[in-house]
Amino acid sequence: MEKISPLRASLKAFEQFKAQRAQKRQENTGIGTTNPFGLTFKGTVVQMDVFESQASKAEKASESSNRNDAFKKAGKLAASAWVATKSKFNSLKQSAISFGNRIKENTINAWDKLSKTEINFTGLFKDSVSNLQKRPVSELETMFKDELQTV
Amino acid sequence: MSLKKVSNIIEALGKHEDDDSVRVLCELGTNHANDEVRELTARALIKRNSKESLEIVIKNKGKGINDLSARVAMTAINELLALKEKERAIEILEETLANSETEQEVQDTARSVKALMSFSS
Repeated sequence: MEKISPLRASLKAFEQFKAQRAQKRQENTGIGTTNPFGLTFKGTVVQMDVFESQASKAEKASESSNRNDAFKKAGKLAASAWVATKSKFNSLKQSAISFGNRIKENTINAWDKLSKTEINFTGLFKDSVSNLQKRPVSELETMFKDELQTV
Repeated sequence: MSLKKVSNIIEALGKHEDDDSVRVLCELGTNHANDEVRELTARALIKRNSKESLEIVIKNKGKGINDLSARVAMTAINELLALKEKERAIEILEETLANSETEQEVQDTARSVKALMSFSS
């Protein structure tokens, strides 16, 4: 049996490892993707993008939180705008209702006045000279006395 | 103050067929405190142009042409001058002048009015 020195044995082991690695590299190049780290996950090459640094994670987290804040702010703005619009519409609605009520009341009052107003032409010619002339003097005397009391 | 109704009554009494209307006008109209009522009454009596109505405004002191209010007296004189038939009025004015029992003041007024009427006719 050949006597192998420890140095030689280690060199041999390294060469074996080197050959295995070259073989693996060849296998990977057959797939067409680069795997700089030479790692597989259940036979599939793990892409570099999968790995994320803590800084980028934090960055992303802060970015997402910023986005959330922006969304929240936008939501609040939208809500306040909605409330303002709603109140504006309410006030418009109230003023329209009060205007309508006022018009209605005025119309009702005018109608009441019209219905209570009596147009009478009988009294218009009652005290005319020609009509009075036809009455007896005694009646005219009484009327004259009554009217003179008001003068 | 509206005298429209009073004015209509006075005018109606002045044009009334019944002679009793002259009495009503003499009693109520010519003795009223309001100048306007007396003025309207004098005008209605003169327009009637009857003996009774003209005697009231010519012969009586404080009535018609002898009214204490110059406005009422002037209206009565103007109405006499505006009459189309003045004969009856002139006749009564002459009677007033001829009557010795009539007050001097009334006679003087009657004389003036008669002169005016003779000039205007």
